[in-house]
Amino acid sequence: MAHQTIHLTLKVWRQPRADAPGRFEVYDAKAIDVDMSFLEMLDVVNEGLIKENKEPIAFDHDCREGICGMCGAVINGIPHGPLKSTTVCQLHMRHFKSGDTITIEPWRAGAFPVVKDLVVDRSAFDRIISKGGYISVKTGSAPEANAIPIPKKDADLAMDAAACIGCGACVAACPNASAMLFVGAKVSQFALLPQGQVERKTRVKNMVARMDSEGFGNCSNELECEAACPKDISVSNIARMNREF
Amino acid sequence: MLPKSSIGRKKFVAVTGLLLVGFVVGHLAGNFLIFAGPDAFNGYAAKLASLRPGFLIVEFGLAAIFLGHVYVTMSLVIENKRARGTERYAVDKNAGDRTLGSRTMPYTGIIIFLYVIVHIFDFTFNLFKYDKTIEGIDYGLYGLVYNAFSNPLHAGAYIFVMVVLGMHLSHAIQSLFRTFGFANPCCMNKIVTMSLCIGVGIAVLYSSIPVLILLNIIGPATT
Amino acid sequence: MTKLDAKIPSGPMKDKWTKRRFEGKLVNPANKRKYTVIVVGTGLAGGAAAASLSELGYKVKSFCIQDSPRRAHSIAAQGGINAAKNYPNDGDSVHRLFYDTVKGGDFRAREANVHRLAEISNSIIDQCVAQGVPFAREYGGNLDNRSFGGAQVSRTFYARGQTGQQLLLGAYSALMKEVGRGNVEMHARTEMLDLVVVDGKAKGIITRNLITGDIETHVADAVILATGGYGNVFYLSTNAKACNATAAWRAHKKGAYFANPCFTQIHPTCIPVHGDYQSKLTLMSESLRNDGRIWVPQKESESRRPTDIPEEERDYYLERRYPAFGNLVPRDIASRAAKERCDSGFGVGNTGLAVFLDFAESIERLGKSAIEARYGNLFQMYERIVGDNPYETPMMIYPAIHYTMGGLWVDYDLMSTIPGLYVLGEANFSDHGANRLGASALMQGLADGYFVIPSTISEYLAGETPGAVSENNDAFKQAKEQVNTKINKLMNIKGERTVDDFHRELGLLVWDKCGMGRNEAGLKEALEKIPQIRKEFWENVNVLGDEDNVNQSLEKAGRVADFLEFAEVMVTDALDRNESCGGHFREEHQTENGEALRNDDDYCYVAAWEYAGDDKAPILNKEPLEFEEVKLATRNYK
Repeated sequence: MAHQTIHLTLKVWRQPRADAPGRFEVYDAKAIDVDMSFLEMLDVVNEGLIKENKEPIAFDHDCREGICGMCGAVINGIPHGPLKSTTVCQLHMRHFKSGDTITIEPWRAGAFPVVKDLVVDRSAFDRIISKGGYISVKTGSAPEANAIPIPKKDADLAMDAAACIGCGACVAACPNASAMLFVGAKVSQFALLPQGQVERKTRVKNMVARMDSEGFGNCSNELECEAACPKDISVSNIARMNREF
Repeated sequence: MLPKSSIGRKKFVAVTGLLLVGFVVGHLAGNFLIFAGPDAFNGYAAKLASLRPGFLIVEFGLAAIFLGHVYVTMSLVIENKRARGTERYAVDKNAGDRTLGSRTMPYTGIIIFLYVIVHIFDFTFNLFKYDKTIEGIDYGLYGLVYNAFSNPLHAGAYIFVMVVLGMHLSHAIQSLFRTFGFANPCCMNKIVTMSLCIGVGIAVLYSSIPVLILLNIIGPATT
Repeated sequence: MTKLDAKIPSGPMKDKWTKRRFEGKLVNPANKRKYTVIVVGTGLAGGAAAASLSELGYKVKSFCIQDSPRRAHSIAAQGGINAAKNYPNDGDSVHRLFYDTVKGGDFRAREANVHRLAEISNSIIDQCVAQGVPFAREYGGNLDNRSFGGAQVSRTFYARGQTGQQLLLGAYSALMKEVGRGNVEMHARTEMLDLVVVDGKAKGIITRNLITGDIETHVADAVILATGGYGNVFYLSTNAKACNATAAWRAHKKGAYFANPCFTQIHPTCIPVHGDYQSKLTLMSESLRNDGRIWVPQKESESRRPTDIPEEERDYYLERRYPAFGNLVPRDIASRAAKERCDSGFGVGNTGLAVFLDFAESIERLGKSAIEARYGNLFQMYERIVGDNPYETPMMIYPAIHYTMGGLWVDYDLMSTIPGLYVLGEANFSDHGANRLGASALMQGLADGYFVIPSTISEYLAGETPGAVSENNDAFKQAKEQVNTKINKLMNIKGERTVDDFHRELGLLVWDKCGMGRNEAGLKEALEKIPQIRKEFWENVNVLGDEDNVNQSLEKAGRVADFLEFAEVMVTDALDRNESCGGHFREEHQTENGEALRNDDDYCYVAAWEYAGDDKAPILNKEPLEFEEVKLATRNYK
């Protein structure tokens, strides 16, 4: 198999602990196969670091197929890197040129403190969901599934909103570190479905209150979140949340 | 009295902003009386003045709206900066559709705020002590405006601020639609275009007065 | 050999579950809050169980290794979830779903469990719709169905290509509702490193906080493992990188039997391996086989581009061999057929380890937009990874490890051989036999979590005094000590090789000897080599960093160390099961046409392996399987 390879220079944010200062370290990434994913490239760099008895770069990742929302880094200034609608794990090295310098930083936001290197704490998202990102139906108490027909259009729009993977790229991209795209998507999903109507008013109030207290910024309609979102969640979900509020 | 939640404050900013847009348009209509000549223009100013003291309520209301708009947006701007965290991105690029207008909102806002203060002192209290006479005849407020805009420096500053106002509005109006929850993707493009047009329109129309005065196209002699 | 009692309720198949629910002991509502239940894992099974038990009133402590319970690997399931709703009116029923699943599992599943699964399937759909899961709908507003491998009815409910995600987010939202209510204590980024058994009963766990490195003890009245499968023993699999067998393996070492570990599923439609650096394999939904046709060139080592190969020189081998089911044969059969073609030299791509999945005919028949609506996201994913446009050239696919049917042995109540330890979802062995049908994993996970465990756990808890054990108990101290010792040992080896290096070596070995095809010589060879790799691991692995900080190398090292032990049981089981069935294909046992040849006389049992001590061969226990409803027969998809 003939593999095309490239050489890169990486500038990676290294921060040993949450409370320790961080800085950029420069690494060479040599003979990188263009068919590698970005995270596989980091794997290769890490294997090299361990061989030199240097601690590998810590980064979050899990499914590596763009659905779990665990991975995420700001690559050359753009969350999840230059390819639109793509998580870091699905970004492949064929989109870079030999000789490129790649700057890799963690999500930066007050509400997402750095834990180590590229790993950040996104638990604020879970806390927001725990304040209303659900429909209160106890197991066993559901009516027959086809009892309430849902127009296909509404179901599709709800699905568009529900496709959010909770990676936090919207917050990382927003000039105000706002979480409104994330919250707006969840509020929209339930607002669009008949099952979500009962708790509609309280849901948006409680989720927004929690979002505010977590220290996320406000939306100033800059649309950076939508552009950075690997799942193309539309900013119209923020508008819908505003309407719901 | 002011809303506390993020979205509540956004809506407050949007509502006050909308009222201020109304004021900006109304003010422009008043300004345009300058084309009708000194009598019409001065007569309009005198009419407004004669409505006082009752009209003061409107004026103070307007001031409250304006200050409220400024105060709440500033609190949001400060919070938003804080939300970004202490560490900045080493490389900070745009992934999306940030425009000059959206990026500079706080700055254009501050310029407009400062200008409004100057503007009140300028034309209401004649801060810069302009002569109200043109070729020896006292034209009152009309003369003051005419003389002020005949000064290229003053006219230039005014035009600059109007361009800034236009930029502010180009983002503000589409933002307002989003904040009120109109975001049908198929209409949003039209709203964005409309917003840009209103911004440009306001800047051009407001600037037309000093420009035409500078070019000597309007003046007491032409009407 | 211990006699394994599966505690299957007596009576007719269709009444067993009702009978069990009526006869089981209950805990009265006022007493439920006195009991604490630990749930490890927050996938479909774990998330659903934690939420449902909390709704009932039990105190729940929930654990996951990811940064949020929403990220468990259930999220990656694409295709759908089965249920016997019979909305399309195509002849489906609870009995047919039951029948298909037993047959699909090649008669190595426990009938009573499978029947219960089929009965519950409909309630799952109801529950998920009520939670706001945006399933695909028809224009009339009713739920849409599609067909899936191994069935001749359309019974699969789906949410685009992200069904697992949507179902998991439903379970996650239910869990977060209970967290918000203050009744579930959530521990994210926390890994279970040992099970604590007091007087023969599961009473708690030892965990490591993956941020601070703190070793913590958690006491409970019952422990539920919903920690997924062991597919990552093969290193390259479609599992997420963090999927591991540690929790199950440590429980096994504390007395839980491991059942049928050799039953591993190879998924036929995955993106082929393309380099040594490869970190994982990507699955594309089996639903692709609904409209895609699988073929290889008729000529060996064909060098023309696929679009240049004329129709008559293509071998649509699934349609040729299995005319009735065609491209929709069950996973094990489709996978083996691909391997057979590639091994015979007809494989395509750079490595020769790939076959074509071609949509040209469907695009012509239905139009590109229809195909895009059905599989757009999958096509996009393929293009992103491979850099080829599947609308124009056929996809290349190859089978990959995907799911593990084996797991900890459980009885009808889902309790393991350790009283008080329950095992749910992929982590147990119960419902899929030797092969799982598509869209059945989601069904089982949610059935176990939402509906089975809430009904069965009270039987055990009713006999326990709540809070009887405290963490000052010696068993907790001892277990904590052992965990600390093991971590210290790993940290202090400071050898030459990385953890991944060992994992890759192990993976290649088991894939080669205990993968799609297995034979006695190969399995014996693997049994010799695994201890050698393990030995070297403990002498030569290099784990850097600190124990009291985020340390991903240390996390991996612990998991690989367990895989290195577990692999031996898996291979032992494969060697012991001297027949072919489902995903377990012993090359010695095949028909003239290369189909799996079962041996019901000697192997119609569940092999439950008992831990006998370090470096000792595991002990085999058998649970005989009896088939009352579905007659033992050769699986036939022709």
